[in-house]
Amino acid sequence: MIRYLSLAVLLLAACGCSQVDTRKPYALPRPAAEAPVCNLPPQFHQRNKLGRLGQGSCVHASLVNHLRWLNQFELAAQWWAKYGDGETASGIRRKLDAAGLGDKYYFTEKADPRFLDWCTINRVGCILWWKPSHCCTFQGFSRGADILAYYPGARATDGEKIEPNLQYAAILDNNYPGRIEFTERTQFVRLWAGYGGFGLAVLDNPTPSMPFRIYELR
Amino acid sequence: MTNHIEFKLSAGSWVGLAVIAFSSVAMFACSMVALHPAPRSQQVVRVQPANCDCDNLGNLASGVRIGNLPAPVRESAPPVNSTARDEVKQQSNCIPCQLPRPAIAVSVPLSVSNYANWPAKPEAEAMAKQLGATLKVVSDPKANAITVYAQLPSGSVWNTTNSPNTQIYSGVNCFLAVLEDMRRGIASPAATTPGGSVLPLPPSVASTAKGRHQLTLFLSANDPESAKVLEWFGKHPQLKALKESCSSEIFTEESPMYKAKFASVVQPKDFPAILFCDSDGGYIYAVGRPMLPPDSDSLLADIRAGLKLAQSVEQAPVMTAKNGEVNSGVLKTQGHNWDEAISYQMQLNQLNQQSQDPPSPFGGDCVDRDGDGQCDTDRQPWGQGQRINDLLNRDKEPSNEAVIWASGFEIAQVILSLVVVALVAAIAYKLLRK
Repeated sequence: MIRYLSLAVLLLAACGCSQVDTRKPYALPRPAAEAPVCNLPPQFHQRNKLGRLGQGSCVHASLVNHLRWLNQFELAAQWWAKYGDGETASGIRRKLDAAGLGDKYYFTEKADPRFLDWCTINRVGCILWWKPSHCCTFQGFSRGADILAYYPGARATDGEKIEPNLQYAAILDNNYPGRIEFTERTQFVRLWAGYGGFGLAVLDNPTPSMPFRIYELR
Repeated sequence: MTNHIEFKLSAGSWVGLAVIAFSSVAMFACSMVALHPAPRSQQVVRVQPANCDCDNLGNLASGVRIGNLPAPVRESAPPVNSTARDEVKQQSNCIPCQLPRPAIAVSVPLSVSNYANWPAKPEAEAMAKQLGATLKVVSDPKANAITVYAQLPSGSVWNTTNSPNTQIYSGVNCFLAVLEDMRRGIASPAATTPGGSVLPLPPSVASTAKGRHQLTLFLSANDPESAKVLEWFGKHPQLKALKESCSSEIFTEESPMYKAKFASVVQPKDFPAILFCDSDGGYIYAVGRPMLPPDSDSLLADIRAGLKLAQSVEQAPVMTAKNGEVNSGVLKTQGHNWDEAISYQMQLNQLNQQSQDPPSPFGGDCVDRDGDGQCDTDRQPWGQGQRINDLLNRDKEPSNEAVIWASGFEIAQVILSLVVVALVAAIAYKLLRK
């Protein structure tokens, strides 16, 4: 009996206990939001090309950038290999329908800013008519403060300073891969309407954000 | 002859075991006894989740789709240029089709290749005349190219929404596009700021608008563990619902986007890994291979617990330092140890913090983890015996409460070591006696 009791005491003494944790969670301040929202790495920026008819392929280049952001690299490669030359709004939609993506894209032809807000909130971006006879990739609206955090000294396309409390549209122009252009929101929407007001977004999950800690235990 | 083995301990052995047991209990008691005259009462902190519907993770999504946007204050959309909308878009990179843009107008050479494909010359000349610009076209049939020189009126300011350095045009509309740009530049020399005033953010993009949570799986091909994780999210009803409600993505080591963006955050040796973040990337739950739960139910419970903790933080005080510098939770991009740094479980040994700030805007190297308003000095994780060393070598402080500053695990290790030493000594003694 004493033998078993001693063994029990020995086991009890040797096992140790976890201590009560009195730490509390504290919220960490969030870092500046990634700018642009749809931050496609520069090595994936597709440059425009001349198609078989000698026309620019800006619509297809923009779509390829958009698909790569949606992590559809294989589809993007196939699309770039197959399509080129100029494109209209209805033409690109027909091609997407033919590729089986008919029920997987949203578009607007009325320069509806809510469409761009949706693209920003869901971090998918879109392709849209921007600049004369040109199509670019919209990479979301970003706050001026976030832009300046990542690109100190950046200026808007009109040459003005980036204001921290304004929103700016981030544009990837396939004629200038590696560069992001920022245009103030209201000016952007106004000019977008002038260029035709067409925008199209493929419905798919975008590349995730860079993770960061939101709390710390102290 | 019996078939069992019987162990008999001598009286001395019993005494030894009793001494060891008593010592262990005494050391354990000392680690819990405070010297402080007014012992502090231990409180168990319970995390209070805030409005957490954690039992129904299938309805986790908070994202919006275009049909579910809140009633917006509709921005007055300007009239759409239908002609521009329906035309063929095909601006291309036409080398050497470049248009240098000086601040003061001078002759700007413009080369357009593919001479045969610009039937717009009459229109271009008419527009140039309207603008007051002088065009000079020089053709080079051998090179199948033309060069267009545009002399702008003196004193004009070249200011458009395009890059001040180069502009690339080509094709049928190339020439017209150049002149259109020139027209805008001359007609609007002032910066085109809307109304010249700073506008507030429209309600439709208020900061309260949130996207969906993000669920990212990092999996290896031909790996049973990775296949198991994939199966969990494919078959477990609530994990499957969670994945469908989130913006989910699966990366392998070969994924181009993984290599470009996440290779420094999640190492292949940690695959399979699960990263569950809010809409901005703040991670709620993350686990790698070494700490992978044994089954899907455990994973779901862990995710729920992480979600509760993260939601409680929304109402928690924000960590600050007396010197005014505030550190964010940005992860190190190099050498980031996942499992040590990001576990949400409350464990006393998790002191090796890994957060590091970007150069701006949060800057500063000051880290104040203990909340005393002073920047922490170099601080190593507590190793075995270091707390005893700390007790002996540092100045006495009121916060030093215990006689022995060691955890239960360390006490157990000491006791077991003594047992082993005693056994070895006893065996050696008996052998030597023989």
